[in-house]
Amino acid sequence: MTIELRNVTKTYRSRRTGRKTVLHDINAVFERGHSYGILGVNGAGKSTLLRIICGAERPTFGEVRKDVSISWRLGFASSFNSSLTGMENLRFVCRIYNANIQEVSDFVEDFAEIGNAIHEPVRNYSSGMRSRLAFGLSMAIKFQVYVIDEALAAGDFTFQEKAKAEFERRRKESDILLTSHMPKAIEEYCDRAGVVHHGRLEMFDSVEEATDYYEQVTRK
Amino acid sequence: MAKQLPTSEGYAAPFSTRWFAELGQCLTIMVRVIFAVILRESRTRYGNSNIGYAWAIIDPLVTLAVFVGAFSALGRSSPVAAPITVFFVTGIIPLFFWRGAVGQAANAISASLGLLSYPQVMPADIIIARLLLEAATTVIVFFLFLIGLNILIGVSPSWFFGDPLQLLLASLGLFYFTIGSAFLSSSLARILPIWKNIWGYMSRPIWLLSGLFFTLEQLPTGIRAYMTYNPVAHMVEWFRSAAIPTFDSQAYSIFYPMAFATIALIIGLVIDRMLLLTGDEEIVS
Repeated sequence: MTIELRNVTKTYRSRRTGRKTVLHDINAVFERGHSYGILGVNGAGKSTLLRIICGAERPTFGEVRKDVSISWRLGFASSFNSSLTGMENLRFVCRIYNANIQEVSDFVEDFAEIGNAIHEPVRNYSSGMRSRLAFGLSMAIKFQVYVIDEALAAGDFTFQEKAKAEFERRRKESDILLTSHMPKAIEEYCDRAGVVHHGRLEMFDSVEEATDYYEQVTRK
Repeated sequence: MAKQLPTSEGYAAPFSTRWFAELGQCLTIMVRVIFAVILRESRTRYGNSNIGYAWAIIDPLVTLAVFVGAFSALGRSSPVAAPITVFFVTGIIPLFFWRGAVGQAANAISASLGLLSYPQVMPADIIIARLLLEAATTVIVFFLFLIGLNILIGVSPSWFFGDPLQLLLASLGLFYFTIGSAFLSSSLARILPIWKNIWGYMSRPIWLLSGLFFTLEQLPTGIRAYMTYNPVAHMVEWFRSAAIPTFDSQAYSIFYPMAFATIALIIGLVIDRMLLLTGDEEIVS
């Protein structure tokens, strides 16, 4: 067992629109040694599901059990403070994960290829630089499961190749949990997949089955 | 590999070996996170202002100058048998600390939502980090005042250490009082966004009513009865009694502000826990 979701329900409350249940009673197990893709149209609840798995949010009901280290959500949004420099943000993350700052910064400088910009405030970064920094940092800290929201859209083609090569090298020790609304992106990295539709999660043992189901429910 | 966080795999019986081990693990993570947040906050807190940390000393200094100036212009003498600067500094220091910390706590969570997406960072960590940073700043400002007054107008530092043990107790009491107020303030801000505005309007009058320019003891009994409802005034009076060698007020209570702080702390922590359990940061907004 790696990550187990038990009866996970997530409801958001808003004064304007009232209650909205984003995830309905989700039960799923993500096993070690497999990389999972999560398919779903925009707004289906993929990101909420990932936030709950990462521990960034708590479910309204149910529980998440996990016995692996899970990265923060990698993707477009970053939790970096934009008035601090990349290096200062890096140090902060190292401190809360108890990682060696020197080793991590060496790795990130080599991997993220942002050069001297690491000493610039993050607000001056392009979104590509931001996600390359977040990505390199998570690679340096070495998690057992990498959670990636909306595919590996970070950076240009060369960077994506580099990231893919790095994941390939880590196959033995690290798994990926990837969301996308494009089945193609998931086929590339994952061997199992699930589909989030109307707040419910359906898990499949192969990406093809998931893709078929996904196309079936979204065509309607 | 990154260190794994404590899992929710079952619950350890209280006071068992495993329970202590898990508690130790959680406390280690908490200390690490608070330390990291302190370092981060010390860089971001005055980030938008060019004078940076200097503001932390300029703000109380201006207040001191204004009040000393007003008192001399009105020809009033110090309400205690000590130099007027000593009287004001012993009021300004606790009040700036308290007001600063409560204001910081009100903004702590909404300004740190990015940080909270890291699972090991909890709302309480951010509040504690801000409190510690504020306390350290206050201690530094206090000593700068001491040195500055001694050099510029020859006020001996001994005016501030009438009873060192009492001063230590009063400072710890003030810290506890501020912890309670800060947790309540932060929780109120999370369930009632308007709290920040209310605090903005409230903080100045409260501050003036808390004994910045008077002592509870000098007030006539009638007014004093009303003024003693304000727990902050008791804290200031206690701090002054402990610090100023020639002043020993009989008009303050230690029990009242401590009870206030305990109730505030409990309410603050209960709201925090409720928000965590429902996983619902904006309950009413």
